Amino acid sequence: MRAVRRKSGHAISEFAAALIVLVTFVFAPLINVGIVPIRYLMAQGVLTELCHRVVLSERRSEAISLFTNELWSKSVLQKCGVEVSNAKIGLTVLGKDNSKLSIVGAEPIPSEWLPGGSMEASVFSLEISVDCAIAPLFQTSPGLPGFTSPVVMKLKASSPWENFGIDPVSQEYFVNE
Amino acid sequence: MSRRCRTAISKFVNVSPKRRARGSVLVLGSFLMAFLALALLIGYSYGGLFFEHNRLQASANEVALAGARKLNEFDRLGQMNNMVARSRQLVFEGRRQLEEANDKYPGIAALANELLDEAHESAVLLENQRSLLNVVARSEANIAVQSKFDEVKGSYAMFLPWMKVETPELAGYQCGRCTGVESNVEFMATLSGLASFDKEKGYVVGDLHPYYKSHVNAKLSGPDSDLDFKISSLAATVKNSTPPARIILPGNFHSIASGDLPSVCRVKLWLPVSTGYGPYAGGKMSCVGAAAATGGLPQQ
Repeated sequence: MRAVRRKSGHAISEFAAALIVLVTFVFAPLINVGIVPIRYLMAQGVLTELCHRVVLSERRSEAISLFTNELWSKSVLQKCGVEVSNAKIGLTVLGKDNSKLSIVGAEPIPSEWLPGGSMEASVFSLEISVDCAIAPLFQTSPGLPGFTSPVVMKLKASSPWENFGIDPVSQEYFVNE
Repeated sequence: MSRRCRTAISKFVNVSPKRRARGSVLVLGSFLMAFLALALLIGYSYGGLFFEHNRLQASANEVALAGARKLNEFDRLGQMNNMVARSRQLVFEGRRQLEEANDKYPGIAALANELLDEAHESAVLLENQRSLLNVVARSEANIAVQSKFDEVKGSYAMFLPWMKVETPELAGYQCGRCTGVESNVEFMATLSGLASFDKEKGYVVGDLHPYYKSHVNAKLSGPDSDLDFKISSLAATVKNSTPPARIILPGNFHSIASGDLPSVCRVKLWLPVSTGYGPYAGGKMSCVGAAAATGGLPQQ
């Protein structure tokens, strides 16, 4: 009787136990950690899309307003397990001889860095950055970032500014308004 | 089932009891792998939808830009705006000269009247030409949009086991103007009477560097109030910097009357997509793109 059970049923019973061990100690931790890069890619995708949208604004002040009042992206990321904080917007201007100027927030661009200025600026790139707390699937304490608690990383996206016109009324570049 | 019976079956199918027991692990393992592969394909399906949406948005922008570039080809809108403003100036000045001649120089009143009639007829003729330009610009932009759409739509159809993407449809095409963009016509302060009239009527915007407002019918007063002077929205050339055609936020699109000259194109694309595996997710993906025309060149 014992020989019969060993020969035909042992595989099933052992497989069930092995399956539990496999799921608990291999699959579950793998999925738990594996969700982090997936959420990272989602957050980066949403941020890039938002940046492409923001650079289409008429004025830089409008771009800043659009970025700071953007709630849809934040709520989408929150639902996907990504907490967004410390959102910053800036502008990077590339001039002659690879010189670079970084403008934070609504600071005006110096006249020599404007199109036609002495620095012969050619690229105006709007950059946005946020701190993202990307959570794994299961969270416990004490937290091990990436494994049992969210891992915080700074995500950035940039896109070239679209509107290079001058406001006829104020005579200022739209990128500087 | 007795042991004898199982052995008999095993002999009949030429499989020993030992091999059968080992094979069950293989079968169950295969099922597990198949399940994982299916989960992976479902993930691919949804990832593919996100990718297709970005691609459709880029196409919508490209198609809208093709139409917008056609609108102000050869600066036709900018020149028309300037001509309308000059024609208006001519009528106003013609009327003033006629009144002055009637008061002070009756001998040349007939000549002044002839000049006014000529300015009047020119204004009527110009308004007709403006209407024709409106039809031509819209129709050519429509052709450019359709042509660009035909160019890009061929690259979409894709039938994968986990995702089906069909050919996109051009769901809509509209012409309008960009919110906050006035006309390219500089305010004419040379005729003091006209300048004060325009400021009083609110036809201009800006204090230091005033420009004519867009999409107002800047009618004159008195006997010339029957004439239409419609100046449309178009980004102006300032400090020798002419704004190029560019993509704008669809939210900045503003509808205009059918008789007004447009400077912005907005298109809507639909893309029928569906996932192949997993819970059904399908329908028409929609993207809107908008683009503004090249700015008007300075008055010659």
